[in-house]
Amino acid sequence: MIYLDNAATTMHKPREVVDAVAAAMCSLGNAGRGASAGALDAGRVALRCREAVARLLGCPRADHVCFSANSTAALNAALSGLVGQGDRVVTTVLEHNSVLRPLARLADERGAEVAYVGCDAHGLLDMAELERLVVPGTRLVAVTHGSNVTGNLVDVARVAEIAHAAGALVVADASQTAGSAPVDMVAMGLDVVCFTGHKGLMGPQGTGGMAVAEGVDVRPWAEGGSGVHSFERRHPLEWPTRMEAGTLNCHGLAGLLAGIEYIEKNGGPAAVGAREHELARRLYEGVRGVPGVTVYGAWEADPALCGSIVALNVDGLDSAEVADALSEGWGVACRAGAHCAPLMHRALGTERRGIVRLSCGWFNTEDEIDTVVAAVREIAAG
Amino acid sequence: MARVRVPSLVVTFPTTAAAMSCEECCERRGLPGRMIPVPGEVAAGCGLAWKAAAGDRDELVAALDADGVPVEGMTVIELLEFRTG
Repeated sequence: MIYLDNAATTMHKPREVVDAVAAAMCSLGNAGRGASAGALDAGRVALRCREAVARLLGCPRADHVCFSANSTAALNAALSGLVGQGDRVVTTVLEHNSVLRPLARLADERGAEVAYVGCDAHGLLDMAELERLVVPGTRLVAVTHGSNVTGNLVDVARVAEIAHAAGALVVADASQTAGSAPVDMVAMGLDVVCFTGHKGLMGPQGTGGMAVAEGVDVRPWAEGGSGVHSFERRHPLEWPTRMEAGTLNCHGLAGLLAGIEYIEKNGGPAAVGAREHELARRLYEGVRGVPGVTVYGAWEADPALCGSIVALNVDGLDSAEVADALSEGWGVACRAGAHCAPLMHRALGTERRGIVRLSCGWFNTEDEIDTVVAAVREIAAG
Repeated sequence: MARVRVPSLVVTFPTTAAAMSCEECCERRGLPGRMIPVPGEVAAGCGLAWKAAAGDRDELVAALDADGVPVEGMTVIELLEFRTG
């Protein structure tokens, strides 16, 4: 199989991640629940993983890194914990449903006013429209750091400048970029960064979380077991406990820690991202200009803003048909359809047929990319 | 390699869990077919569908009904197939 669905999950993991999860499952107790050797070891793993995520995202306080099951859970918690009755929120058409649906719920249940920033024909965010929509009184801007459809990166530092000038907070969705693009919360001015562990961080599914800047008061979303203050009626507000009701997934966090350490050992997110970008560029160069093939994203307009995705369609074919042909004919695993990003597809005019998303990862090879290029050319030739 | 369109039965499901139950049901009973991404012509959005020959409809309906697998819809559309020679 040629695995080109790394934007969905990185199926191939470093051996260190697999070994770390297996070892954790043979040794760890429940973090923060008692002082047995296993419980303490679990707590140590969670702490080391917090510190690794803090390093990765430029979060000054490791205790402001809070773990959850994935990015969706973190985004729900962050948005629900920050948006109050009648608040104005600005988001973008680039967003995944993990942002759009929680905001729709907040609109329905708390009367939140949600405005959507558009993009150009390449899928690049319209910064001028963002400036117009982020008016004084806006509570927050929810923005992706990288589109899960086109792979286009967003200048979130510029978004933060605009947001902060109006007194708004910034919640960044780093689902597609954590591990493969540099993120520095302080330098970029990000108030909350939500991440998932199983994509660019090469960790297990079921891991993720948020990093929260000091002074940002995200109210707890879930309440329950905390291991501390058991006789208090409500969930404690201390960080990171306030956002971590219930047992932590320390087996998964052991793998996530190993994934982050693997990335650090290989030069960090910039180096890993550069490798993945070069593979995607090779793919793009191979399919651009092929009769009948349309490539989406910023590859022509500004390749520096492209991540590791090549999003395309073939004339006369549904995206699902192309994905199926790639799978059946060449053993290529990719993703067709809407990718849970309806507004992005509406903006690109691909609501009906979807898009074939080919997303490169650290473990792909040039030979694999060349095979996929040949496959796309053959499919397009009919 | 030539591409041709062949009338195919496409079964859609309300959930991914139901789609996986269909696959398990068909494999256990030895029914032909395979999982495909949902064609845009059938439904927009994320999802899986079961693809089978148009003539397999009655047998498939009976099997899924017997196993209580929830089905959203069934339709016959022309789907792409690649043929060599």
